[in-house]
Amino acid sequence: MRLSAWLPLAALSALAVCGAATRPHYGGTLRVEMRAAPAAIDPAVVDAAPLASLLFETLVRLDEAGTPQPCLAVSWQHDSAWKRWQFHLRPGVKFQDGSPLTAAAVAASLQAALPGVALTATGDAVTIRANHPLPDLLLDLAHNGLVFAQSAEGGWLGTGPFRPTAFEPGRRALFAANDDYWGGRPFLDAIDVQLGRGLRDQLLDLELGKADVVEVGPTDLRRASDHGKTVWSSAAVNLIAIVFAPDAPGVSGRADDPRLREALALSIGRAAMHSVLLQKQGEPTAALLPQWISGYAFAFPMAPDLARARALANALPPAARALTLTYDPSMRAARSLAERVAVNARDAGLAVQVSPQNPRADARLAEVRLVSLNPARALVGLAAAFGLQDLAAPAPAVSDAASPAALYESERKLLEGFRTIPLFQLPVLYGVGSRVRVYAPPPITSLGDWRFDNVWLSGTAP
Amino acid sequence: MSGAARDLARTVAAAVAHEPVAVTVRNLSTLGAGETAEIRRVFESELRAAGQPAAEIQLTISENLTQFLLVAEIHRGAERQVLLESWPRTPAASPAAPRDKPARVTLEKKLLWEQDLPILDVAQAADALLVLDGARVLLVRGEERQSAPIPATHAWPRDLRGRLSVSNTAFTAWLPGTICRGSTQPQLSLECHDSQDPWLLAPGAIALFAPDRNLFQGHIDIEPGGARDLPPFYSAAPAGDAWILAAADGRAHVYTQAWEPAGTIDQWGSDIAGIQTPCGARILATRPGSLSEPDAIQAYELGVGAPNNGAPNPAGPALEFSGPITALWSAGNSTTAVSRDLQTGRYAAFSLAPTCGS
Repeated sequence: MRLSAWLPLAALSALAVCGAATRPHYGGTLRVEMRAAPAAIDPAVVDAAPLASLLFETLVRLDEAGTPQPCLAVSWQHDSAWKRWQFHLRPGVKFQDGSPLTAAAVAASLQAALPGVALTATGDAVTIRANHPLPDLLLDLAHNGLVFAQSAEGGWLGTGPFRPTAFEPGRRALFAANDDYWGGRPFLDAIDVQLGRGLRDQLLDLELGKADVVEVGPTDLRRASDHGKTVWSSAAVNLIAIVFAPDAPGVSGRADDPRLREALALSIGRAAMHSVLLQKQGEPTAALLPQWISGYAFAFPMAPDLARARALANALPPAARALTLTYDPSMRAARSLAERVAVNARDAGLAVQVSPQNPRADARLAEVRLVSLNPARALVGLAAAFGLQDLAAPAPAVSDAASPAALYESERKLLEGFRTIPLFQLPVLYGVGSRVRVYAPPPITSLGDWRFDNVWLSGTAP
Repeated sequence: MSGAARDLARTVAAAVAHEPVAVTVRNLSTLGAGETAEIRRVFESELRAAGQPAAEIQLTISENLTQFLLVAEIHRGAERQVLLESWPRTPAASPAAPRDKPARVTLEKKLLWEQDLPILDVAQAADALLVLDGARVLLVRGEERQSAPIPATHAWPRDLRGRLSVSNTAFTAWLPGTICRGSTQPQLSLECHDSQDPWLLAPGAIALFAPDRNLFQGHIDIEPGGARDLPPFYSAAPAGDAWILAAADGRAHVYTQAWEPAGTIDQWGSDIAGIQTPCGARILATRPGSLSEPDAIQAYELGVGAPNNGAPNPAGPALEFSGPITALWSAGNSTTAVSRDLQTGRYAAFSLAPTCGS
């Protein structure tokens, strides 16, 4: 199972241009742009996750095959019941202010990420004890278990390969190489991140050579490849879904009828949208969790059933066969997807009116990022993001030990009222300029976080 | 695996009692054909034993990050039921530490050593082979193995490089910011300390290596000729009275005996080395490209001052490798190359032997 990939879209001959050398160069500033505009680089802020991945590290990280590998922990053991885990820390690791990483600091950092467990620090070891089994603890730690400390000035300190040098909330973040990084100094001298840049502006900057790494939408892949750019791809981590909001003020209430929601769900031809509108990126789905996380997403049927959709629509009063669908224009491919949903719905006898940023719409097209590699936590996170938390699974402490069969049942119940209609699982895609090289892949993780310590720039003076 | 198939079959049998059955199996996981067949055999056998032939069942073998899943989808007309069983993919123990005209010059390679850890250099010491990596010096003498650890006093730079030089039973190993001296007799011994001492670049030439980088700083000292400060470079090779430096700007720079620039070469990779062949001195060079591609080493003649203004002439066919060249060092009559196999990820050290044709 390979979780992230470099798409072979670029003309690979770009790697063999005159003057290109095999060995990586040190030096240079990587120019990155992103849509999100976080107000702070806080380990707990989801929007800041890519930035945080430059500064903060975890006890373990996943390799490209999804296997946990040592990071700040060099070894670990657990008891046969999976209730007691012990991690031994890598010696010689320092925070970015030069202070040593201690087991106590690790335990304090992880407490928020692991509610309901006891953390103790002894020597170079951190012990985690719970009353329930924690079979997926390594997955939790690999993504959510960031280790940090607070500086004397109140800022965040990490152990990662870069350190922050300047931050303008929502606008710009600058980072410099951490010369004392335990894994060896990064090749790059600095990273300059422009925040809050629209996708169109990002692509333009990439084409004009003003940026080295930008986010791209699936519909821009061909354009990026036509310009000889490489594309980095995460695993499928962003769920695009139609979400009904019957309780919102000013909403018509038509979507309260489950027959309308089911008719719409059964009318949607995901395969054609995936092939044409999304350029076959990611995967169509009728499940909340992606297949690589749950293993059972295929068991949620997604083939359209127009006959049943029409029957359901015909059973509604004519005035109730209409609804409004809105979308965020900054979302990738949102408008074309929404308009295609409307076309499919018409075939089933439903009238769907599409408009951007309509707070009174019956339904909205939403894109939500996976928050955990642990299937149970990821499901709880998605349910909360889609407003399904009241129906959502039990407390995380119990969910941690949930079997795939139990998770499937939870997910089936979350979806059975068609309040959320999953459509696609999409990867995070980055268009990459021709001077960017990677010494040891992957440059981004399966969840789309940055691993830029092995990125280098050709044509830079060392 | 078999237990999960048996348990799922029993659950399915209970769910579909007294109905005709048709089982189809598909595999979405990384399990092989043998395991798939075994799951099917156990599942169907258990269904038969339960005496409950059933409906249409789609049995799917799947997986997520931690578990394999068996998913039975039971179809009865428009009705559909899904049942699951699962078993762990791998134990969650920490993994082991990283494991350890007609051609004139034809190159032949001979495998000297192979291992999982990146090999930085190898050298022949009397009756033994010495292997340098970032963690140790390994002595290989027939079936005998001796290992001496290199203490980690500071973090190694990425793209770690190292060099070995042997004189009888004594040897020196250079790593960035570290020098180690040792002996192969009576037992392997090694003593390392932090050092900015220059590395042996080629016979009669030494150069300072950047302690936190993957390249030489540019300060070079050659006998005769004395010291010079040049731009940073990855590797260097003597070419008669001239020198060629594979510089950090991605080009090979040719210098005359008086250290006057005599041209540049664009077609080479970062690793070059001088080699003595039966038909004279030649330069070995890797290709430019990516570390994710197979590489090759080719011998060249250089016509400094000739009409081609220093452009290299291939002196023979390229010697292909199954992966990138990660080290190329020459010690006069012997040249070693290290390659990382792109399929296995293992590192292999070769000695390169030149022969001359007509």
